[in-house]
Amino acid sequence: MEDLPEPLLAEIIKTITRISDLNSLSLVSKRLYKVEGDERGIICVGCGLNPATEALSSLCSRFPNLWKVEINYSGWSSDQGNQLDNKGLHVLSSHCPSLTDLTLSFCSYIDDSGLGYLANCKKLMALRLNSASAISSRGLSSVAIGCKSLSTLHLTDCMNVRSMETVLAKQEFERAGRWYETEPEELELWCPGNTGVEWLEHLGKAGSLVELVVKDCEGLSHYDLLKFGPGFMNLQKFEFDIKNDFYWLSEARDPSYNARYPHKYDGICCENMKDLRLAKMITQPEIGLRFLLRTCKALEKLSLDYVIGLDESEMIALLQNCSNLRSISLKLMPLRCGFDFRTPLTDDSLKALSLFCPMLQVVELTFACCSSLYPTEIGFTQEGIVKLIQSCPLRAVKLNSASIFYDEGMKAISSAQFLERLELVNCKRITDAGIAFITRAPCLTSLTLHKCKNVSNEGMAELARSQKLEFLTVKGCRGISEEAVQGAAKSVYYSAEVEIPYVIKEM
Amino acid sequence: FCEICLTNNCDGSAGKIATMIALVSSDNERFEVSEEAASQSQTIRNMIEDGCADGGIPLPNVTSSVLAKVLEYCNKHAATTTPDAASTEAVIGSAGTRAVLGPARHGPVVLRAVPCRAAGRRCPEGCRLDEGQDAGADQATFKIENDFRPEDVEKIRKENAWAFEE
Repeated sequence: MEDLPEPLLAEIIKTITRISDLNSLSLVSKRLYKVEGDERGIICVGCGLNPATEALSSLCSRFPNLWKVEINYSGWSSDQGNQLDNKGLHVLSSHCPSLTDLTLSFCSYIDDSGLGYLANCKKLMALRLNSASAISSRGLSSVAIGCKSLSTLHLTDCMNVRSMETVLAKQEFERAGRWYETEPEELELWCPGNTGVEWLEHLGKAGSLVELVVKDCEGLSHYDLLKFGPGFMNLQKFEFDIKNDFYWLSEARDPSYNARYPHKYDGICCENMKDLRLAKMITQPEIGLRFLLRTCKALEKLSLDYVIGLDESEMIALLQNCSNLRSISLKLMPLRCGFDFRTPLTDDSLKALSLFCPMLQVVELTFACCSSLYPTEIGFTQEGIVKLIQSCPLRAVKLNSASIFYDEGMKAISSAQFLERLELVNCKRITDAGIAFITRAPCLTSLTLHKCKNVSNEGMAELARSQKLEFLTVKGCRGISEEAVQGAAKSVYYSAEVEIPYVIKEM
Repeated sequence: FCEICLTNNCDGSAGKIATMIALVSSDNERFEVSEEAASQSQTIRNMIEDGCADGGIPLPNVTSSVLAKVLEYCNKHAATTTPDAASTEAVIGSAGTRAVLGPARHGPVVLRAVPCRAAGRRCPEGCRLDEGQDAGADQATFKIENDFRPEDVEKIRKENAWAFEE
């Protein structure tokens, strides 16, 4: 063993993936320690790294070929010692020459100067910032300018990355809501011409990004993302989602601000986009990011979650262009339509899906805040949904709060040739008869029932008799007991509690 | 084939009666080999010297098919005292069991006979370490010298604790 050549040892070590095993291996002999150290490429550190900077330096010299680093301080408290700060990023940038992928989560002491060091990481391709409360647009600008290989950028809950436009709009909104006069909030000193989205414009022009995710950044609105402009051409994955309390902000937008920073829709083209998710935005009267739907051709996965302003003809035109679509998720809420309320799309959109998207495998439909007393609040009909499931080779279907979907619907879809997974959330019309019908679906292996109050133990007995399911998940269904689900499938998960979903504030 | 010197070209020079040692595989098959041949394995030599060899040396890790192949190797190299520097021979046993032998200072050492997940597929040269082994077990099994000082070990253990599972 001692005479095995090093490349051979390295090959053996590459087959070991568990950190605990690699750690044991490193204690066997100096030679194994060295070879293992050279091979280690991925590391995840955080609480326990003490003293932080020295420990990181030590790790970087022991593992000279690290390419993927995650620093995660989730759950940290000050009695665990100091967090890594900017010096830590200096260490990474100078001692980690192969660094390609960096994730910083809950690093409260790394600010813009720290991020500035990343400009020296010539190979950096992916940067993910989660809850990086000390990072602002300045830090992102240094990364945008310095990291020329950057292809993936994720910003989640970065509250200090703010555009001036959005900050001012929010202030206006809050001031309008108060009946008393107060001092205007202290604004950060903006340099002239400092819009707070220079980093986005720079990345857009550079065109190196392939994946961009912006979630829960309360200082950015979907209008700000338009500044990415020409960068959309090369994006394959894009996601934009806002925190709930920002939801009303877009509505309060003052058009006079728009005039100062005119939004350019020219040059925005998403012909390479494969994975698109737009969530919680008001796109009326100004279209904002919904504009992206007009230029997509290569979409494979689409999620439109509470996009107010969805237009049916635009939707159908989109589906006509995207024949590669494999997965679609629509979360809809009813909007005023004359004297009634209705969700924006009708069965025509479902027909378009079956007609133009032959590769469709996954469909998820959610109807939030639709009263079950008024079934017309949902723009689709049971027939429309059934026809969609019957005509596309769907493998997975999820229906949430579909009060228009009855046991007969279950009967109709039980002939779906390829259906493997079915999830029903808050579908109060489904009873044990519906469960009995669905057991006839030839390929069904997985069933999830969440808050389906009219399914009882009898339905579970039916499943047990059919011996069909691999996976059964039952959550918050008060008619079903834990004993009843045993044996209903090969693998069962039961919870009496309802999982509280994202709550939409009613309009 | 001469059972005393375990070669095909015995010239009778190994005149003295060689002491025979029995090696017992995991499926209880006995293989009689000369003490000299068996002593090429450091592990077995230790056992002989410690007087544990009476009644046969059990090798619970090694099946009969693998052991047969190993002994074939031992026979081939019985007379050689200087092993090849970097040669590693991989011997495939039956039904997807693989024994990997490596040259060692004192003759070949059976590293580990482990069943290949996919028999017939080319596995990388070397042995599959069992998961969950700790350092001590690796050292004992492979007879690797632990050249760390106690302070080093302490330092490495501390460092290892910093990196968590993804």
